[in-house]
Amino acid sequence: MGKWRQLTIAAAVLAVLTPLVGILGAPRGARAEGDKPASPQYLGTEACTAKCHKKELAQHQASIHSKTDRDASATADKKGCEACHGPAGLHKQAVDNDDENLQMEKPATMSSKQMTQVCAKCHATTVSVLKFVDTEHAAEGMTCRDCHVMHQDKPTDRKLKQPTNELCLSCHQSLKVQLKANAHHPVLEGRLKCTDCHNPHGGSDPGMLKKDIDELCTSCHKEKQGPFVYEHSPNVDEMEDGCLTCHAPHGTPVAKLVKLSGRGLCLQCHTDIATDGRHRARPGSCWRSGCHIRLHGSQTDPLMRR
Amino acid sequence: MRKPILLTLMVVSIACCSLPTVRAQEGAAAASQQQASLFDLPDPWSADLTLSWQSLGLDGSLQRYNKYHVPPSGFFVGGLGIRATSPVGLPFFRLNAYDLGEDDTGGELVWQSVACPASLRWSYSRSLFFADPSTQAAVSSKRNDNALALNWNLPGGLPTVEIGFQHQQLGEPSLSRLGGGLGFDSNKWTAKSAFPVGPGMVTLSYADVDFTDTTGFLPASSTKVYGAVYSLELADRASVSARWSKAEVSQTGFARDTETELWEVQGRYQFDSNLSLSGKVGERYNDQLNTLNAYTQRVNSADLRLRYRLGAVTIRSGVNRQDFERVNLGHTAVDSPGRETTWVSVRGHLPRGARFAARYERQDLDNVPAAAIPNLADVSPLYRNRRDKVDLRVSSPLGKYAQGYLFATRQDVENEVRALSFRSSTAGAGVFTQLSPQVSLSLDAFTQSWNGAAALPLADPFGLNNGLSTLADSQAFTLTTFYDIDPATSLSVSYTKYRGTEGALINDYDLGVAVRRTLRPDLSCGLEWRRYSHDDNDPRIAPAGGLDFQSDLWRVDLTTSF
Repeated sequence: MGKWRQLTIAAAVLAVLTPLVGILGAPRGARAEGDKPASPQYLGTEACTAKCHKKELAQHQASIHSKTDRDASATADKKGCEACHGPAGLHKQAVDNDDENLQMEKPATMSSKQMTQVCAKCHATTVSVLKFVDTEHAAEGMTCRDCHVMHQDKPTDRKLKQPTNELCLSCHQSLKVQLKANAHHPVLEGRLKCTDCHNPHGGSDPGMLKKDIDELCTSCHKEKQGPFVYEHSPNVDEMEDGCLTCHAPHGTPVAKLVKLSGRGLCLQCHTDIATDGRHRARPGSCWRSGCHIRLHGSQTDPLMRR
Repeated sequence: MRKPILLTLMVVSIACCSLPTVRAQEGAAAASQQQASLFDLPDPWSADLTLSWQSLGLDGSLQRYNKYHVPPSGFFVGGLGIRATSPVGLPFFRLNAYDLGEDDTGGELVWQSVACPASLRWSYSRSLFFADPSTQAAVSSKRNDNALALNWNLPGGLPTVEIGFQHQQLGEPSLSRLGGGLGFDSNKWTAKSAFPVGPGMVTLSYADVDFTDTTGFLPASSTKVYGAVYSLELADRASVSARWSKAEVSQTGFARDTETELWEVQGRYQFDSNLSLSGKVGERYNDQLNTLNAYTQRVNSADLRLRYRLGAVTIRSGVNRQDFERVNLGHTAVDSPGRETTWVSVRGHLPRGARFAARYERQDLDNVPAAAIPNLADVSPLYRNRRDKVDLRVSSPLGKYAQGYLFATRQDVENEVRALSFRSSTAGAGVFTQLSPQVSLSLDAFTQSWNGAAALPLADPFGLNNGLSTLADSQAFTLTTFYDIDPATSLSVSYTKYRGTEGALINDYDLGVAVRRTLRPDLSCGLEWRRYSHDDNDPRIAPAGGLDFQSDLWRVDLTTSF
């Protein structure tokens, strides 16, 4: 394990040194500009809407995004129209000069990464460019605008185009039928949102899960979190897929969202028991038969019978 | 004492944010007074109220019908939405609640400060259900979830602060095989702060979780989780992130704490717009001093991913390596198996607007001990040592007004030592079409099957599983259509058929017809009929068919806005 520790330490040192290099290596002028709360090129929302973009002002004022105009602490690059469309100084010059290049950022035509960079200026705690660009969503060419509205206000939370589950299932159509399986998480019943488990903004794993799978499941199913005196690990938790070793979260034919019926579930790993005379005596699944009732962990029995 | 103080702080914070609100609103209103007359601002307050009546028309198992929730019946408030805006039109308050006063109810409230960048979110839900339906009389299960979160971007370059509180309660007394059933009561406090350091961003977090098992099975516990993340992006090409967290679990009756510590460093470099490389290394160390059997003590992981775009095609591939340290049953020895995953995915655009995606993944275990005694030594080779997964997806416009998709997934799992293997295959197809400006139709179909071989007694030759196959297949089909009869009236019809071979055969269907009509701009009504049928032929159910039901649901809604 020594090599792993060395590798991790080396990576951590690199992570600490890199920003220092970034700070020290950055041009002084650039740093000075970064410290300025406002640039002369930023004109403000009033200037943008006084004579030209009057219609957009109505939408903007009725949008939570206009809150940035009232935030005294916000720098000019994070306020109003210019937060997303860039500084208006050059744009005004271009308009005044009838220049074809209007010198204005158009998020509607931006790539996934470019748009994420724009949005992450303010929403850095929600989305990071680092995480989003590696997601399946970004690979599909999706941008923030595919799910969120920028100008209008919506009765939905977080300026979503539709309520969360409707929005997700409008693309992930195949999941609609899985969520109607005999056993399923109550998403269509309204008790869960897709975003309770998935983070559409980040996580590069195929499932785009918010957390490590076991941590995620036990954030609701806390009684299965342990630590137990007698754990079902280490075969389940680490070398397999944690909770997903036995459960399929969207929907299965089998009660409790398990993948296989009856004791077939256990036999996928415990193959030695299939021909074990002791275990042939009692029919039924390993837990419903009244034997291994504490499958997730026990406080008193290494075989999880109580 | 700490929690009331935090709660008081949250309330004071909200009050502080609210104080300058009126003044700021007045200022902003005055500033925009000249322009305000040009625009049609929303009403300062608006509300939607839905009054509903519902009849369930249930015939059969109430427990199975209420497996996931208890739908309301009779007259009830189906929905309440309140929205408030400032004098300049800024929305700052929103409340949405459903099924008020009923067994299953919930809602959420979002409050945004006008004067300062702060917001408050609160959500609540209560559900009654039967987690484990049976033919015997049983008490319903119950779950309550309460969550409160305050987010505040402090002025003057100070950090962003998030304070959260979550209360969860679960009671499943009907799980008779567990004696007292399942149940817990848990409180979670979280604090998170993000602030810039140099060119990057630091995020510090703390969580405190109290857990009480109301059945007395598990000891009460208190968990403290500390976390720190530093992330930065350099020159629009490179980004680096480092993460550390530590969890300490203290359980009543145990002198020692259980600890978990995690380190993770990841980075990404973009060579040009077509080629990028990202990597991650990490270590997790578990110190489970109170655990008396085997457990995984340490996991070291490394992950490398490549993304390459070639014209309309994006190729991504990666390799992930995990090395484990597993402590054996008696805590006398450690073994070090490893798991390696390699994958490649290709996705891109085809002619005529079609898109495709293909992914192949393979997992291998290595360095696993050759033999051990099952059950008594947890390092026994019960693993599946090789797994292959293939996923193919195609979607395409079908003519001018339709869109279709197809997908197929296959997963093969093998345990070579025990000559065990099985396969799951999933396939699906769907189409959405706009038949006319007034009529749209969508169809989705899904099938999943399991196939096994070798040592697994699939057909239950020994009668271990009541003569039932241990593999369960399923098929599902849905059809939904919308018809806008006129600008004020819409009709929708939906049908779902579900068939599963869990045990013997599950045959469900769900047929619904709904009409919605807008009577006035501020008044609409809806009428819905839905038949839901559940038929479970599992021979383990006694008496036979004891969990079957059929319901003819009628619902009337009247929604008014004011």
